[in-house]
Amino acid sequence: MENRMIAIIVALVLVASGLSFYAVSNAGNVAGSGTFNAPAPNLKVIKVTDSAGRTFYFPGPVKRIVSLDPSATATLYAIGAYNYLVGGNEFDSYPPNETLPNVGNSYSVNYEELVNLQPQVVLGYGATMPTYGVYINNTLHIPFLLDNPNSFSQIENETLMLGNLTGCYHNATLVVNWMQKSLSYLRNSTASITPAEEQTVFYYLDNYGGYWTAGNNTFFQSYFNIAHLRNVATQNGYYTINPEIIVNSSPDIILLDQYVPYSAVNVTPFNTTNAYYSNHVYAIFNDSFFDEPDFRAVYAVAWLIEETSNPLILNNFPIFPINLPYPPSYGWN
Amino acid sequence: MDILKSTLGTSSQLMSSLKWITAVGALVLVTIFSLFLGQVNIPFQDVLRIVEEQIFPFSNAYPRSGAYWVIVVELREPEILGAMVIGSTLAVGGAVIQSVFRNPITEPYIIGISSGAALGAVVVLDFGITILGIYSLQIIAFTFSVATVMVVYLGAFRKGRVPLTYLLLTGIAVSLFISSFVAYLIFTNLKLQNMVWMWLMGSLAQITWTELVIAFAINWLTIFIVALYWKELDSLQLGEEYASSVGINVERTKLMLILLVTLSTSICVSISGLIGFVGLVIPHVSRIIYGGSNRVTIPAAMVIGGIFLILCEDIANIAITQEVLPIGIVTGVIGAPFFLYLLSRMAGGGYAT
Amino acid sequence: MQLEASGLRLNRGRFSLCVDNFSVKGGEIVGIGGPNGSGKSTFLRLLCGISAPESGVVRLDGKDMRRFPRIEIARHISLMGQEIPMPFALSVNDILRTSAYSNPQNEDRVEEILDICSISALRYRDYNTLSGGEKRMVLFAASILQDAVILLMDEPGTYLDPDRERIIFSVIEELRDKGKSIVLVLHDISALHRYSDKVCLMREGKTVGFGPKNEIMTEENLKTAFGLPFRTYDSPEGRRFTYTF
Repeated sequence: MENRMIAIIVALVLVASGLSFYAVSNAGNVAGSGTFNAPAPNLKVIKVTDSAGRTFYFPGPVKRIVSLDPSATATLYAIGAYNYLVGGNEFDSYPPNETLPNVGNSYSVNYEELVNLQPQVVLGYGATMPTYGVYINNTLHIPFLLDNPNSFSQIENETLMLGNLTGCYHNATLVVNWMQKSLSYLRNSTASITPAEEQTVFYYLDNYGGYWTAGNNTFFQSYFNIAHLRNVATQNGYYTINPEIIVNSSPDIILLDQYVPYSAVNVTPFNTTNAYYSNHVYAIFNDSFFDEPDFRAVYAVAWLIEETSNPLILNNFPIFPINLPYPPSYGWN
Repeated sequence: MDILKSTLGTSSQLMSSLKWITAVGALVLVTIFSLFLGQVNIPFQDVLRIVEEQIFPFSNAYPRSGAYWVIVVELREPEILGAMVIGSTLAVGGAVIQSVFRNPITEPYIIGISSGAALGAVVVLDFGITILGIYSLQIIAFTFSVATVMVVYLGAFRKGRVPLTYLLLTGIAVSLFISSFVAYLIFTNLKLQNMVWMWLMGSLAQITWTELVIAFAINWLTIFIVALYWKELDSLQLGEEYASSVGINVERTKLMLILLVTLSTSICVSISGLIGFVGLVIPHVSRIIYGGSNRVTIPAAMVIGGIFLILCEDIANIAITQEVLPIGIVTGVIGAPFFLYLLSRMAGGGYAT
Repeated sequence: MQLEASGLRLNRGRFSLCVDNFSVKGGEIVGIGGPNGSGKSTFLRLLCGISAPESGVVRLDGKDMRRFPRIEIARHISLMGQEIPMPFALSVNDILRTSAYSNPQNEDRVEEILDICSISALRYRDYNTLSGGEKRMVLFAASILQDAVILLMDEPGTYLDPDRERIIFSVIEELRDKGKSIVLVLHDISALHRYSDKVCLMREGKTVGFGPKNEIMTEENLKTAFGLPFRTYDSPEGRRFTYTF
C-alpha cells in the first residue's frame, strides 16, 4: 500500500512540474484574442471590423481568400474580387459552376486543405463565433472574419467591408447604391397598400418534426415588411408553430421552401386556409436568394411583390451597374 | 512489477510478452504511419524533415512556417496524439466502470458524463458564451460533466453507501433528464443544429497543443493511478461483499475510481465531443486478447484504445475526398464488425458461457 | 485470537436480528444452524464487519472492530460467502490473487493450497467455465489463502460432491487443530453436529441457544429452532443423527 502511495505522489509531482514547465515556456505566446497588432501608423494599412466586433489590420489588399460563407462568395464575385478566392465551400451557389477547392461547410472544415491553400483571410458566418472560427483564428493563425447580417443595411456594410478588404471599394459602393435604389423602388411600389389591405402570409420552412417557420427578427420578416405582408408567425426567430394558429389565422398566402413539396398543404392545418382555397401557395423559386443574406436578397423581395401585389414589378427595376457573366438575377427564371 | 517478473519464464509467458511487444509496436507504427496520411499529399521527405526539425529544434532541417509545416505540426500531430490519449482514456475508463459496476454493457458515459458535457457544450454554442476565453466550451463542458456525476453520486447515496444499482439507475435517470434540456435547446435554435450535431458525434479536428498537454498530463496520470488499483478492480468484479471481505474499503475505492474516471473522461469529452463505442468495446477486446484481470486489461485497453482511435481518425480524414467524417461514425462502422469477428473467433471462457 | 459479539441488534424492515452473546476462540469450530431466513448469513456479515449493527459491539481480540480499518480486519477475518460471483473473464489464478490482498502470499503457498484442495489443474482456467462445485472449491481455496486466523464460512459444502465435501471439512478440521477460529453456517443438522465444537441455533433472528454442541442440539431446542418434532440418536462414534417425523 505504501509503495502505491509513493508511486502516486511521485507521478503527481512529475506531472505538476511538467505542466508548470509547459505553462512557463508558453507564457510568452499565449493565443491572443484574435486581433492583430496595429502596424506603424505611417504605413498604408487596411483596417476592417467583422460582425463580432473584432478589428483586423492587413498590410494591403488581400489577394488570397477562403470563403466558408456563400454570401461572401457571391459578393466577392459581384465586386470583381472573385479571382482572389482560393477556396470555396459546399453551399456556394452563385456564381454557378464553381471550380474552387471545397474547404467545407458551415459546420465542418477541411483544415488540411485550408492550410494548404495558404489564405490571408477566411470568411465565415454565424450568429455567434463558431468553434471552427476560433480554431482557424487562434490555432492556425489565419484571420477569421465573421459575417452575420440581420438587415439590409448590415448587408451593405458587409459589402463595403469586403470591398475595402480586397481593394475593390469602388465596385462595392456601386453595388450598395444599386441595393438602395432597388429597395426604395420596391418600397414605393407597395407604399399604397394600407394596413387593412395587407395580406397575411405563412412561410413553410421545413416539415421535419413540425411546422417550421420564420417569425420576427428574421430576414424573412424584413422581406415581408417591404412587401407589406403580415406574417402569421409573430414569435421571435425560427420555430415550430402550433398548427391551431395556422387554422385560426387562415393565411392568404403560403410560401413553401424549396424542399417542402406542394402536397404538404393538402392536409390539415393548411387545407382550410384562404391560401389553399384561392391557390395562393407559392414555392420559393430559389433558396439561395432567400437564405443567403447578400445583395441578391433584393430579388427575393421583388419576387414576393411580383407574386402577391404587382406582377409588373420587374419592368422598371434598376439595372445592375456592373457587367457580370452571370447577372445577379441568375437562377430566377 | 509483476509484469516484469513474468516476462521471463514459461512458453505461455513468452507468448504473452510477444503479445505486448506486438501491441506497443503496432501503436508506434500506426502513430508514425498516420503522420504521412491526410487529404493534402505531402512528400515523404518533407514529413521526415519536419519531424527532424521538431526533434532537433533550429537544426534548419525544415523552415518553421509554410503550409506543410502547419499541416504536419498543427493539424496532423495534435490529431494523432489526441486520438491516442482519448482512445486510451475512454478504453481504460470503460474497463474500470465495467469492473466497478460488474456489468459488461456499461461505459464511462453512463454515470452522467456525456449528458452533462453535452448540456455544457450546447449552452455555450446556443448562447455564444465566450467569457472564459477561447476554451469556454471545453471548460464549461468539463464543469457540467463533473457536476452531473456529482449530482448522480450524491443522489444515489443511501445510509453511507452508494449501492451500484441505485448509482446506475440514478445515472440513467439524471442523464435522460439533462438530455431533455439538451434536446430542447437544440430544438429551439434551428441555426445551431448542425454545429451541435457535429459536436455530439465527436471530432478531433480542432484539437490544440494546449488541450493535448493537459489531456496527456492528467489522463495518463489517472490511467497510471487506476492501473495501480488492479487488485481492487478484480475484487470488485467478484462482488462488493467479496471485495470487502478481502480487505478493500469498497465505498472509498468506488469513489476514488469513479472520480478518476470522471475527471479523465470529462477532459476527453470536453475536447472531442462524444466519441462512442471505444469505452464500451475496447475493454472487452483487451480481455479477449490479453486476459480478464485488470492487471493486464488496463494496460491493454490503453494501448488498443489508442491504436483503434488513431486508425479511426485516419479513416475519418481520408475516406471521402475533401471531407472530414465525424469520428463517432467511423468508430461504430469499423469497430462493431471487428468486435463481432473477434468475439466469434477468439472469445472463449467466460464469453462463451 | 478471540471474536466476540454482544448485544447485537439489526432491523431490516420486518426482519430483526438480536444476538446477545456469541464468541469463538482459537482452536474451535462454532457451527451456526437454523432454518432458512433465520438470519445466519446476516449474522456472519455482522461478525466480519461488512454490515454494521444498529447497536451492540463485535470485539476482535477485545477491541471494538469498528476501530479497525477494513484491511486490518481482513488480515484477521476471512469470509467465504454463500453466493457464487460472476466476473467477466477472471482466471482462477486472478481470483486467488485478490484473496491475498491483505496478506500477500508467496508462490509456494498458493501451490500448496491448490494442491490441498486438489484444484491445481484449474489454476489458469477461466473461472466462468468451471462447474458449480469447482467454483465453490476455488472460493474455498481463496478463503484459506487469505491466511486469516478467524475463518467465517457460509455453507462451504453446497454444490460439492461427497469427495470434495470431505476434502473441505478435513481441511477445516486441520485448520482448527492448528489453532484457527472457525465459524461455519450449516443448514444440514447432521453436518452441524459432526463438524462443530460449539453450536449456535437461530430462529427468526434470535438465538435459541449457544454452547457445546451436545448441550444445545437437544430435541427440544431443535424443535424450537426448526418448528418440527425431532428425534436424535447418538452413535457409538459420538455422532448425533436426527430425523423428523
